Amino acid sequence: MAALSIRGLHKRFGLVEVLKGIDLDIESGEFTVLVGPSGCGKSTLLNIIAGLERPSGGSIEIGGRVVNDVAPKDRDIAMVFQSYALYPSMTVRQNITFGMECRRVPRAAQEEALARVAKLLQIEPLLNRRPSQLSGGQRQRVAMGRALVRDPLLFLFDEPLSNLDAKLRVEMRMEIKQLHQRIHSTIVYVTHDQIEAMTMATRIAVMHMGEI
Amino acid sequence: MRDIRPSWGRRLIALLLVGFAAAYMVPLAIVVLNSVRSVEDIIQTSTIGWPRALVLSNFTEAWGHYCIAEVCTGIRPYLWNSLAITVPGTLMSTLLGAVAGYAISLWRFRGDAWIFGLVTLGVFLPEQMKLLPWAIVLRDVGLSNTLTGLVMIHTIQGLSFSTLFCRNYYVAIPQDLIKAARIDGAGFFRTFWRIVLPLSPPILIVTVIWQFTGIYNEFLYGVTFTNGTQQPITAALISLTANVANVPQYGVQSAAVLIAAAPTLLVYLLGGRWFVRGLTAGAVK
Repeated sequence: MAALSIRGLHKRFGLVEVLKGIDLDIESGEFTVLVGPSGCGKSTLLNIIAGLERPSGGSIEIGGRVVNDVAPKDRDIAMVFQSYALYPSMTVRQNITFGMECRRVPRAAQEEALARVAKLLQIEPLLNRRPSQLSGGQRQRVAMGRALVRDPLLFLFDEPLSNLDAKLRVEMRMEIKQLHQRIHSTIVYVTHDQIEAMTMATRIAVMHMGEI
Repeated sequence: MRDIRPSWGRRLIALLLVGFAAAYMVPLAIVVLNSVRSVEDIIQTSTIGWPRALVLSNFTEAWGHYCIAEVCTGIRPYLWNSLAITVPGTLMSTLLGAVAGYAISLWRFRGDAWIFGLVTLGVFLPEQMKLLPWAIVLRDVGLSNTLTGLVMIHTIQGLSFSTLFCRNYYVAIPQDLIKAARIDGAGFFRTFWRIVLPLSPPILIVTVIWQFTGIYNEFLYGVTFTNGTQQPITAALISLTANVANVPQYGVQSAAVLIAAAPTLLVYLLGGRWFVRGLTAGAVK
């Protein structure tokens, strides 16, 4: 069963057709990278997969279930953003458990999931800090922790390393790759960096002007 | 070697500023002086002058005993009226404006620009223009000559300002934050309560100070839509000065004016610093 299945996806903004008929199948455990220049529609595609935007046509299936009309929180996905998007007024701990809080996961299960993820990403000493007190790499790890703790079917990465300096980028690339190998997650990763794509992906989809 | 003495241009500006400050301060100084002078003192000398002897009875008289339109309770009940109008009006218009500004800036929906334009239009409409419509509305809902009616008017009108302020502040919050919250499962109100509101103190302080000062100082609606014991202090002060006694009671009137000005002065003294900071603060670093 494919983890993600996209058929004939179209997206129009007014008169501009941003996505022109996308077909894509991703198997469970694959690390798929969407590469392409700015403006080719890859971020839009990611937003539609996440459910943050609705397609103008076509269908999306996640884990065999049609999710065109399903809200983002019910799609069993997690997303890591280029700007990390950590909640500034909450501690790292609260940032990571916020999603579980919204879903009313019992306290004990929350603590357990938090401990597991904190250990995996080595962010245990940071749990009581605010995002403004963290470095770029630490923030990125917390953002990944927030995604990991949901244990989703699909991980979506939206150019997560673009804000980091070159050395940190290389380190984080390896970390993400190792994470993938360890937990066999299904990942859809968007970037404009071809090297990043080639070092990390098991499959690459090149996008140009709204088509793959 | 630079000449460290200020240039003539700077001196001129300083002189102008001192001149303007004096123009503002002189009436205040006269009122303050008159409030501590007895009636005989003012009548016999002139309305402008140093007190012969310091007299504090004007304040007690104004607060609790002076007669306004045959009701001899002083201005105390009217001060409470004003506060009873201003505090709920400020709180409600600020909160509603914050939610409205949040909705318009961070949740795109069809027609949001139009709605924002319409709400903001209220900022520019003159009070006098809305007098008659409000009179009709108050009559229809049965709230004429009540404090509740004035609270309603000020809340709704305050919405224009607070929505404008809050929306301009909230546009600085990155959309990614809202996206992350949606994926986490937070809805409209939870996102507001847990994520956006904690980022809001600067603009909330600005809005509260602005609204408090505006609603408290408001005169036209107060004097038009209420009378007698329901009046806010701005309207009551006029009735107070209309009180015909044997002798014009400038001392008591001055004391009454100072008491009436106290709340907004206090707000300025305590919060003025935050006002400027809040206007220039950004939402997220």
